[in-house]
Amino acid sequence: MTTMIERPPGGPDAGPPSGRGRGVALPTGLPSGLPDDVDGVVAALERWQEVLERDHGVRDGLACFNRLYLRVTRDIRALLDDEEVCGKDFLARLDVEFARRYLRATGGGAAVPRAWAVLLDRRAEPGIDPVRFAVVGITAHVNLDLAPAVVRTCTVLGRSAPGPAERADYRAVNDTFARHLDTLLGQSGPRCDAVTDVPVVLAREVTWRQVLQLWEQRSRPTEYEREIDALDRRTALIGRGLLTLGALT
Amino acid sequence: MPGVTHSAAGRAFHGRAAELELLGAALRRTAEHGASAVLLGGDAGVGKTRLVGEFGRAAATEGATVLTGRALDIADAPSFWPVVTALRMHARSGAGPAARTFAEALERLDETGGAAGDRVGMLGELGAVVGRAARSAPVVLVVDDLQWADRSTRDLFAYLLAGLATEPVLLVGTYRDDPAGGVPAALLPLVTELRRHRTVTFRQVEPLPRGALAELLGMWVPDRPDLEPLVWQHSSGNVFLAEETVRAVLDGDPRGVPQTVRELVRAGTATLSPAAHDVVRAVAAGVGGVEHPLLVSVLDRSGAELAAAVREAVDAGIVVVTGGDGYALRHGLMTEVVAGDLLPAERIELHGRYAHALAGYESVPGTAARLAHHWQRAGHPKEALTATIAAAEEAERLRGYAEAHRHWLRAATLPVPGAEAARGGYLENAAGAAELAGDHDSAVALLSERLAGPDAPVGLDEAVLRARLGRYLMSAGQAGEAEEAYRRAAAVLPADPVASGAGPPGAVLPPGGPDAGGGPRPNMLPVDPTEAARAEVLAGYAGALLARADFAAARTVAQQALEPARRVGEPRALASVLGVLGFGAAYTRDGGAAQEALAEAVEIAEATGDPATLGECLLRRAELLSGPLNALDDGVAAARAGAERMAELGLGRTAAVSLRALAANGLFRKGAWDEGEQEVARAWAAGPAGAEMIELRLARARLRMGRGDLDGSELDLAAVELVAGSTGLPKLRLPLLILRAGLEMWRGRPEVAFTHVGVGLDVVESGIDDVWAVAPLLWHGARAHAEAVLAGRPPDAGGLRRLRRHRRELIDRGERSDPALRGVLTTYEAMCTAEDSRVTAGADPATWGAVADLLERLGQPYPTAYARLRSAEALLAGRRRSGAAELARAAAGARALQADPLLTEIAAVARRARVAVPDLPDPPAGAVRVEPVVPSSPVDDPLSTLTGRELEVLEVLAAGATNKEIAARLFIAPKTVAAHLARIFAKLGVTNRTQAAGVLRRHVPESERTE
Repeated sequence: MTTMIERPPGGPDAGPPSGRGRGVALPTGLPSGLPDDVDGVVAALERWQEVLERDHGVRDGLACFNRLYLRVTRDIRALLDDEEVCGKDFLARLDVEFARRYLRATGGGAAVPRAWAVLLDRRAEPGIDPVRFAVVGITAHVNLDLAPAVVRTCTVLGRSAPGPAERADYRAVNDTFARHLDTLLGQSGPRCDAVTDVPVVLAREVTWRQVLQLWEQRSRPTEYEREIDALDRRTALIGRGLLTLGALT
Repeated sequence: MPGVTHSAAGRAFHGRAAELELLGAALRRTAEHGASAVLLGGDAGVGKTRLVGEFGRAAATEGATVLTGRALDIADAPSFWPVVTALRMHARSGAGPAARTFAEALERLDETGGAAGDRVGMLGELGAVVGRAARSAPVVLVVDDLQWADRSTRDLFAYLLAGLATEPVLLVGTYRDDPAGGVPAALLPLVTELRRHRTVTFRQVEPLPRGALAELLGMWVPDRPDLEPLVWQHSSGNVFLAEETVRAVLDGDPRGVPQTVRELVRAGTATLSPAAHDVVRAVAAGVGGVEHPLLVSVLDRSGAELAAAVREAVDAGIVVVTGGDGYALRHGLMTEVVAGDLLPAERIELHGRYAHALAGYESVPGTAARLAHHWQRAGHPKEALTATIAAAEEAERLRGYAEAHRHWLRAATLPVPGAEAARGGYLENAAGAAELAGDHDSAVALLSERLAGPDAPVGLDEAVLRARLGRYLMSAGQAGEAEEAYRRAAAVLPADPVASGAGPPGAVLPPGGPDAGGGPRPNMLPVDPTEAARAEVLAGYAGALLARADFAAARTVAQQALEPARRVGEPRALASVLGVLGFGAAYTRDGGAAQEALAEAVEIAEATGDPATLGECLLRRAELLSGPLNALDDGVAAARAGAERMAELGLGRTAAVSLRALAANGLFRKGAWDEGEQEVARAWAAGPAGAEMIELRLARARLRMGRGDLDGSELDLAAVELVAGSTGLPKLRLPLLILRAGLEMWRGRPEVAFTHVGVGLDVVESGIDDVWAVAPLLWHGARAHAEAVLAGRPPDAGGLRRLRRHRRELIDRGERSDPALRGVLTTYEAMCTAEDSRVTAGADPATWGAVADLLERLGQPYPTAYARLRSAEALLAGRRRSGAAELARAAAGARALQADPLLTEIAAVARRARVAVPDLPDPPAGAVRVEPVVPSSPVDDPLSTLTGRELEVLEVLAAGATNKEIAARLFIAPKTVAAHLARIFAKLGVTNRTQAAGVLRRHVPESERTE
């Protein structure tokens, strides 16, 4: 937990350009290596929150999402600690794989996917309120990362296919997000326009279909890549729309 | 304990006569029909294990060798556990030749994993062990709790059924139904495969009926008939529940008789002394049978004290002795309840004790997997990781790659601090094991995840890994994806220092001509890893390009691979590059270069003295000759000579079989079917197994189908499907579906054939688009469509549109291809178009004649005879005189081959068209009576007044045909049909078609009419 920022943080202008493969490495604020278990995920998100707030301020677009994501992950950890829940392997691993995708995408090093670049590009714009940032983050994370994380979890756990048990765990993650989003929207009052509740509600079934489709393509790597790329483009489109005031209202 | 000893009560067995008879009959049938299987499903506690135990004892007294094993209820079990434990137990306790066979085989397995080279080889090895034992006496192999069995064991089930066609072996499996009902998910793939196999019987073991339960109760507690209503009410015929209910009543449980399994088991253990209760808890936390010394270490009690506690638990009917020196709870349900009741602290403590105790037995086979299980449950991921790796390595030694795959995955996901760096390697190992287990999809997905991961390798390592991905994709049949994977691998290869120094990348041959660097170099200098990687990547790339039918590119890349391959000097790899080069050259019309490349490959293989490599080279050369070089006679001769050579070198069961199968296929193509059958028979006599058996069966299925032994052909196909299904050989899927479609066509079920073609198109659309197989698939589709339409059962329009789309794509592909491939595709397209002409009004009757001439020029006598028949049909339908001569040519061709199904079709056309063709077979029994048999009198049988031709017209009419259709079917003009009908109506005294058909139906039984 000693890796510190090696370069000064970039302002909005120094942010990564949108688009795959052209991403400029972000300042690395993550603990060395990616988390391996749920405790590790919570710790990594906590640390990331500190770094984001310190470097970009509490109103930073990504920090707004990370704050919510941290709460979601703590809830999932509580779910896993519950003795009554059996067969936790999958949910625990899914939580880790899901978080690793986010941390890799936003934590610097790798190229930034378009869906995240949309948020990072405008993270410091004062005209966008925190709830909107959080919603855009959820959109990016759930739409872009959840389906591939489910597929990867099935693959590394040797599951024969994403079935009912996997679907239940997938839903647990998705529903935890939805719950926190509702709370957030409830707190923020009527000021929020109707667009904010669209993406996740929409995502639940759509994303599971996406899981099944990706699973079918997992033995065809280039086809899989193309599908992920298309997913990234679609998600970025939604994110951009949500960040543009009035675009969808 | 009051009154009754439960162990005595537990032993009584009663009823189940029908099930025992089923099993006995199945065993007797194996003497004639070879290996067969009975799978018994049912609820937990219904009495499956007792039933098969009882059957096993009866079979053993009648002289059968009975092997009994039980699967372990842990996620990642050791490979072949139930089978290997069964063999071990029999070797230890039994006598006679079977026990000796098993003891020797086990010794070999423990040492080296046997002689098997891969998992199919291992299945073959174990199959041979069982087969050898079956020579002296019938063998019964029982696997209890098949739903928990490791995949290798499940694969072995399928393999034994397909492989032991004559040996008296009965496989018995029991499985617990899924809680939601039906077959448990883990067994579904196996069950789906087995259901298609006719030597497999499925049976549900139902709860005992009330009468039988009452009788059983009378044997347990003769003096308490009053218990019957209570026991029936609580158990509904479930024997385990009945036993436990009796126990609870006799123990006088003060809380009343418990109702649920959980309460029953708790009540049963509640009366035990604390020491005995500890024994029960410890045994429940163990895996499989817990050996006595192990129990001693786990419980850490003095010998005498422990013995008394164990005795108490056994007398109470809760613990039983298994396999000589181990303990288990009497029923799996008990284990589940007791283990579930352990507190977390107790569980961790017990598993920790097991782990510590087992650590002393690491050399005992199967220990590592159990150890990993206990360490993990005990919350020691670091020790679990060590044991898991040992378990993976042990599974690989036994070629239990499916289990190794799971162990490596577990190793990659155990959260051990400091082990991050090694995880990528475990994932790679998992992918490798999945590949060897035949699970190509998982292998590809795992390696893709590895390459996309945060710690993905770069540079040379990345190139090697991407090439490996390409290799997995090739064996998954995904040539297009493989090409891309290899292209990327080649792109990340470091620049070639030698090539860039020696000249442009296109300059391939080393200075001084091909011989300067030829041959493997003496292995004295350490091989430069960059060079080795370059050779591997480029060789694979060339192979993928060849599979994509991009011959020119394949040749170029193979030439680029040649130089580093020569420098590395690994003979097998070099030979493989030369092989690709040869095929690339042959398809690009450079026969000389092709022959040269293969000659060099053979030379290199000869020099190494490794017979397996030599066998591959000889096979490839024979393939080259009989394939792209169009020298079929030479190819067959080369294959035969190669087979002799391989047999001399001790590879009579493997490489020689492949070569003979190749020769048989060549002989089939050139029409020398008798010789082809001889080759198959010689190869079969060598007793092939695994992949070679599959090749041979396919060759035989083709010959049998051509000759009309449709059932024999189906038997071969079913056996191949059984093995291919469980080992996932994607390359076989299209050939199998094509053969299936052909079979259904000869059986007169074109609509079923069309369905098989549809499944084949699914396969093609999934990316397995082997162009050499797609073309014949599409022709089968076109033929099935035409025949289904003619039979009045046209397939749906969607299927036809899809077929057409694929045909258009193939034409486009042909236009983009090298001439060699284009020629083949054009021929098939011509055949497809000709099939369409059968159901297209106004089609040119000469279409088929042109196809027949084309096929004849290509030296394909069987398809030629078929095309002549179709040509004759078309000509006769157009009432051309030349039709009769064409039919005679078809008959001559089919007769020379003794192609019975084709001859029968020719005869049917001859009869309908009233064309005299000599030496045609009689119509098969059950077909139309052309002349009514014994015409009694016109009053009794009005049909007797009709002429033969009129009767034929009436037959077709009764099937619902219009005048036009009758005309087409009988090769007469519609006007003639009308004239026939007028006479028929007059003779029968009827006024319309319906009445006429009614007369026929009244006087000729359904079974005697055509179609």
